[in-house]
Amino acid sequence: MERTEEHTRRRSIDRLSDLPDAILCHILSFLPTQKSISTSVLARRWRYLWAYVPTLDFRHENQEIIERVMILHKVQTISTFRLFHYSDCSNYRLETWITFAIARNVQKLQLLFHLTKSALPRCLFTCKTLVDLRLNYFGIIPMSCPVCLPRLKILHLICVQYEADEALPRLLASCPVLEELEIESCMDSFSSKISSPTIKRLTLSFPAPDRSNNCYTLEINTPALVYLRLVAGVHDHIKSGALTSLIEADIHFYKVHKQRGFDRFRYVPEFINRLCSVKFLKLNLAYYKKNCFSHLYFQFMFSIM
Amino acid sequence: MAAETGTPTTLTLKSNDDELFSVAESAAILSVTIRNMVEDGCAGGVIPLDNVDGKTLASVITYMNGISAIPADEEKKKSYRDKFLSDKDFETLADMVLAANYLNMSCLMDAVSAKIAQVMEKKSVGWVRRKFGIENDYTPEEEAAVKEEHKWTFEGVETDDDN
Repeated sequence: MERTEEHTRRRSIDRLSDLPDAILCHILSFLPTQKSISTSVLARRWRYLWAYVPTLDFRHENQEIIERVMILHKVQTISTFRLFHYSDCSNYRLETWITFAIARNVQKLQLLFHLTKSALPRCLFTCKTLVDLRLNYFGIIPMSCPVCLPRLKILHLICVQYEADEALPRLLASCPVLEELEIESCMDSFSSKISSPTIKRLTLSFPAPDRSNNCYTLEINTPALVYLRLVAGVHDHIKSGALTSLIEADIHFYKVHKQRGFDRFRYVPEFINRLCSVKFLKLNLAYYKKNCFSHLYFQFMFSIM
Repeated sequence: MAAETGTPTTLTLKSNDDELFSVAESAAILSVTIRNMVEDGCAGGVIPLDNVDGKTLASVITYMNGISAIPADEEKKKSYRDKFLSDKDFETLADMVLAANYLNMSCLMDAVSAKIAQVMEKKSVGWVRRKFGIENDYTPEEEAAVKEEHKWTFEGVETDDDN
């Protein structure tokens, strides 16, 4: 019995080594590029396989290595280009890398920088192939350049800057098929509008434990929304239009210490009343004082019924 | 397709070791290979799947039934896939990727490929050669040259030279 099992195991492994290159490349596409290139040492067949993997996924490699890999990479259509880079680099270099990805019809672009506060290349905002764009901790959403992202479905803007308050609405208006939007703001103040007839999933996070005087102002108009996650201070001003398609909501309101005057927080029950169609609601008012909390909790129960 | 009759249609699938399985057509057509056979009218009797053994096919059918029962919610589907693959050993994953490729099931193919990649990520060259059945056909000099060329890629990887 054991021998039969061992035989079966052996057979599946032998068949695995017979897999066509396209499937091996598909498996390699789920690895960071460093690991994918290291498979070139396995055997002659694997030597250049990495160069045909449709994903480039850099995790803090130095600039010389990134550029060497780009030159040796043979794929004309890149499905995913991911670049996590901790050290600073020039605007010129950054533009070269992003332009490289766009010239290869990139579909999913994810950029994470920690030190660079630089403008994004203009060609990024007119990329016809982009389906999924995630910017983390860098980049300025522009006002002055043309924007047209006809295929973009997923957009994550984590701690990016905005050239003006109108930059975000202008960007969203140029994404006709957007379905998922995630925004986390790390700016001192933020005042904007989120308006889209197509967005189904929306995550908004305004965490800022240190801010007690400034507040964020946001108007939401997303009638097709199905899922909403919101983390905001009770002193922020967040207004929403009708949310009749909403099924799931995960809402966290926090209170910054030493704030007084409940009349400043009137928008909170108003906002919660907008959630009347939800089937699954998580409501976290953990930092509320007890007397305020009970009032809001009643509103929430009433809405659900 | 018999969908017009209003009753769920069941298909019979046969593995390459002659095991028979019944599965709802609505779940089975997650496989583009099977869907094409159904659309071409070849699914009247038993559908032979010459490249999949009974043990793997049973597992694939469990997946087909599980995933097709989840409504259009990508998050829930993803967590089902993660759970489904969590207890599978490397040999089973190898069989699954071959089956998913043969059956043309892109969602299963992606999930299993990602899982194989996740297992490979921290492993040594020797481990990957053994598990993939790869024969090292480099001369020692060639292998040293390739290693030297991509020296930076071997930083932080476990070394085992029992290959």
